[in-house]
Amino acid sequence: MRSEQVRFLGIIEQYQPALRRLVNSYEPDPGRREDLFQEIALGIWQALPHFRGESSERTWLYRIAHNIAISGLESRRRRDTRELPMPDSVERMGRWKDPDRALVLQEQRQAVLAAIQELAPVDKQLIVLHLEGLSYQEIEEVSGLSESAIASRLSRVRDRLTDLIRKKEMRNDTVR
Amino acid sequence: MTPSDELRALWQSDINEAMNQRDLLRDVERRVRNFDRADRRRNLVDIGAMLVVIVVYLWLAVGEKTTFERMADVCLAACAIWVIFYVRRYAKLSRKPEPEQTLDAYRRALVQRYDRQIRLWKSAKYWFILPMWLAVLLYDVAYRLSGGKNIKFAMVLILVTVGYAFAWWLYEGRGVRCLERKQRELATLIEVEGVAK
Repeated sequence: MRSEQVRFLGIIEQYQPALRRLVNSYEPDPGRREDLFQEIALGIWQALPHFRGESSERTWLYRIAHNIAISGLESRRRRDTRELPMPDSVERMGRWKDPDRALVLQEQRQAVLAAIQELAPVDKQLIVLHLEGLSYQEIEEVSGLSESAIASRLSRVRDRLTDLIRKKEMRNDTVR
Repeated sequence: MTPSDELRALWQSDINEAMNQRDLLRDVERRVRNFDRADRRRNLVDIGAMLVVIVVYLWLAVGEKTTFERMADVCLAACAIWVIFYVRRYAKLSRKPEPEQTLDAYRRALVQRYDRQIRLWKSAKYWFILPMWLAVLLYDVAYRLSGGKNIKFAMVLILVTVGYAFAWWLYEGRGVRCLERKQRELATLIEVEGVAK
């Protein structure tokens, strides 16, 4: 295997879960997520020879992934949005010891994901970077926005999402 | 744990099924191959079109009676080749922006791609309509100078002129308006300011 291939596979292996979550936030239709993931992987593959380490690998990778995801936004928007996306597989819940807790978590995750999918693209980019654990400085490096703009936008989006989870929890408690 | 930490923990607890690394590499290489193949095919079609234009007009030129008519044929061929060359050059210049730039710069670049397309269509009268029309006009003049009096030729010239005028309207009127609308929609969607409403 060529060194370029080894390097590419190493990056993908390390960041695959984060990239999958990023893809989920852009693509509501689970049937099309694989395609977007592969487009991003292709973008990384093509950009890899030009990567000189001027920024960290992580910020470089997020730039590519978000930029490729946003460039297909128009065509995704034009698609028939009346089609309801299929729910994610619940098989993964089998890993949990407490199925009730797993179900609640799954519902919360779905609610957060749905709320993130609804966000305006810039807010979506910022919150996904934040949730992936990037510092404000790293988010600035990826997004090109100032730290103050990032902070004010993130605060608004975070409040909205937290509120949503609380409501979801309250609704679940009422049902029980 | 702050609400923000809770949110992050919840988000990161979503571990999706990972794709087999080798399958992924195979798919990426397949996509690269398809991309290269499509690029080669496009090049071949463009070069093929140029060759057809050259062969047809040279063949017509050989059959012409006067030097002036032959020159008109060569001019038409040159104009057609110029149009193909111009469109090819433009297509190379207006590829998708590099995804390694910051998200803000990339969003602006996506919107600016429309500017290039709008400029191209607004200038269609110079690089497409005018040269082709002048070449047809030259051909008609050559025909008349060589003693041709067939009324059909005049009709063809009128039809071609009407056709080019229609193409002009399609590019500069309808086409540009449509592109400007799409550009505004994209700018609103991805929050890029500075695009005229």
